[in-house]
Amino acid sequence: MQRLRSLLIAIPVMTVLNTGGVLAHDFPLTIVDDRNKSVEIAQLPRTVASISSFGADVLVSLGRQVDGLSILGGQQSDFLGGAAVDAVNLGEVHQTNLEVLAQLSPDLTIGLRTYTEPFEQKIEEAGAFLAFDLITLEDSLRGVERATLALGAESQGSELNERFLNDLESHIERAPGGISAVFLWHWGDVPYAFYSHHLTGHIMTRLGATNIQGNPPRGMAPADSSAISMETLLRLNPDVILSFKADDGPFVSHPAWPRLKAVRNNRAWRVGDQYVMPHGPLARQMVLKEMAYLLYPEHFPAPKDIPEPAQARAMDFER
Amino acid sequence: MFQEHTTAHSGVSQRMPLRIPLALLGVVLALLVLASLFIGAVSLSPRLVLDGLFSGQASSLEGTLVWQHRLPRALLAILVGLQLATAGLILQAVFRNPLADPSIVGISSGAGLAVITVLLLADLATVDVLIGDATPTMMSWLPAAALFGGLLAASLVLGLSWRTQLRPIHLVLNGIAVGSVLNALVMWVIVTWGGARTEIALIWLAGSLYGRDFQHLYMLWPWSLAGLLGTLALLKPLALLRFDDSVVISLGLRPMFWRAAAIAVAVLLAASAVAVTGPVGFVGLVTPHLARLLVGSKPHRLWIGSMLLGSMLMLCADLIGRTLISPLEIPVGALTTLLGIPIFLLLLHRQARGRF
Repeated sequence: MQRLRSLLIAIPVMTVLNTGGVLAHDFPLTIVDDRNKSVEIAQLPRTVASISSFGADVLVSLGRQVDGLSILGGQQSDFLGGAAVDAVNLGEVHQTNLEVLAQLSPDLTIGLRTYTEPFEQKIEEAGAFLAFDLITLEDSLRGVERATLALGAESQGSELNERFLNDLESHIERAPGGISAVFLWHWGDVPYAFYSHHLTGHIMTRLGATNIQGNPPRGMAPADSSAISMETLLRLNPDVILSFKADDGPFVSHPAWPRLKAVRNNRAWRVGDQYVMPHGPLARQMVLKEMAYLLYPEHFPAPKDIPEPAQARAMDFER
Repeated sequence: MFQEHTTAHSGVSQRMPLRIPLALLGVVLALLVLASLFIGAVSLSPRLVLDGLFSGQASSLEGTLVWQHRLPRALLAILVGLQLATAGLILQAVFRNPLADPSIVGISSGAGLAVITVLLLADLATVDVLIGDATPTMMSWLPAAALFGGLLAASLVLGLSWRTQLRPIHLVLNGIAVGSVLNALVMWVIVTWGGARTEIALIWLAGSLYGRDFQHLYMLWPWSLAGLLGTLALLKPLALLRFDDSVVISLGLRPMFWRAAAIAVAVLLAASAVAVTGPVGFVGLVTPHLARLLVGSKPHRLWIGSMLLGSMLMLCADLIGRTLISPLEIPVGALTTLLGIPIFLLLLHRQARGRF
């Protein structure tokens, strides 16, 4: 609780520091984004584009429509349900279609710095652009604060953050712990595991699970994950495996796969992209509730408010 | 590369006045430029495109699309295409190998490793070691880093081949070795790093004109001009470098000097192009051969034809890449490879039949 209180105090303070002292949502206002750039929002944004699901997540949480949205792996994020179905398709998250963005001419674009950095000038030509680094819980809280401030809904942003922190605490209190887990993705035939400072890994550890990937090496903080060999996976042998990808990945055909405890106990799950981008208000709530259930099915109910395509599914595997 | 061909087709080409095939190629190039301006992810009527074109960089949508997105990409495609084609033409002559292209002296792999290194450092720059605005600065270094990496790799290949008087076979073998090592390093860094910029790195490695604008054009054109002037000075010696060194010497030329000069010009042309777009395959390889079929083997004809065809190939690939599955975009490097592979196979087939 002490940590929760500290965070609740720290967030408004950080926001004030990062927004050049703007406390009320009077426009124009200036917000400092994670490029350390002062972005002026001239008036309440009416048209908003989102490069990554984060901005759309914030908008939907505020009951607003997202006007343009990038896709990941050829599709919109399933966890948004039908909320973004009318949004203009901006192309892949790492390669926003700049012509389509120019046509949309959004008052505000919310994006990820890592995907937009080399092309940020072209995005800024279309309108105001806020770029965030989103990896940790603190990134999520500050991102929601600043995005909602830009959208003229600062108090709602604070409420969303407060609600999540409260839910996190209540889940922590009910989680029995004593379990190990890993959150994987893969590129080619190389599996990667997320570190504990990534929000999904953070939720995992706060729920009492040991993330077998642990924390990133000192001085390498920006990486959210790193490669993990199947032999290492077998040696650390987690109780639960979560894996993000549109397919089962290369794991299932590896000889180590059927020997893994999680696989033998049917506790290997394929999860939606909200686990990779869990920093928005909707996504982090879904990840918290579903992960609690996947880690401790006897203690937490299966969440019912996650759209069906975004729900965790047992990974198919060969025995 | 500059040798006279004995095929009937080439013979016809040689007798044909230069202005006819060049005029045809020029017309096709102009049509492709127009198509690049008129066709895009956002549908605009021809009238709106013309309004946008003649209204300058106005704040209208059509002005924005034409001046900030389509025109700079089209102009860059032209410059990159002619540079890669010229570099390929020079290297095929120097290496006496019709399958040589800029990648053979390690330019692409050297540039690739430099860019990946900068991206990795940009990741690290946000941790405790480097703070403040170091990251944005580092990202703006990408083209310069690629240029540096390409030049360094090419210098290494030349250095390794220096003791053997830059003999073509040694240049090729050293180029393949250096390129292979650098490519392996690129893949090793990407796989072990696994950072959030993997996608950005892969876009660059695939070769793309995505997000490029007049700033890139301003950066590139001095290199284009210098490289083309250098090529102009090289045309006559290049035609003689196809002979054995003893013959070249008897004709009053110093083969090693002219070989080194030619490679230097090719490296400057290719490395500066790769710095802007990333590695773009097959343009340097196939366009000289296509040009020979169309305009014959005389050096000045071949060079001009190669440049026009290189620009056309780049424009065509970029146009298809950004419109075929819009709003998604296919990297121009992937398309030049797709377009170039059939021609490459045809060349191999012809080579096997001893027609080179």
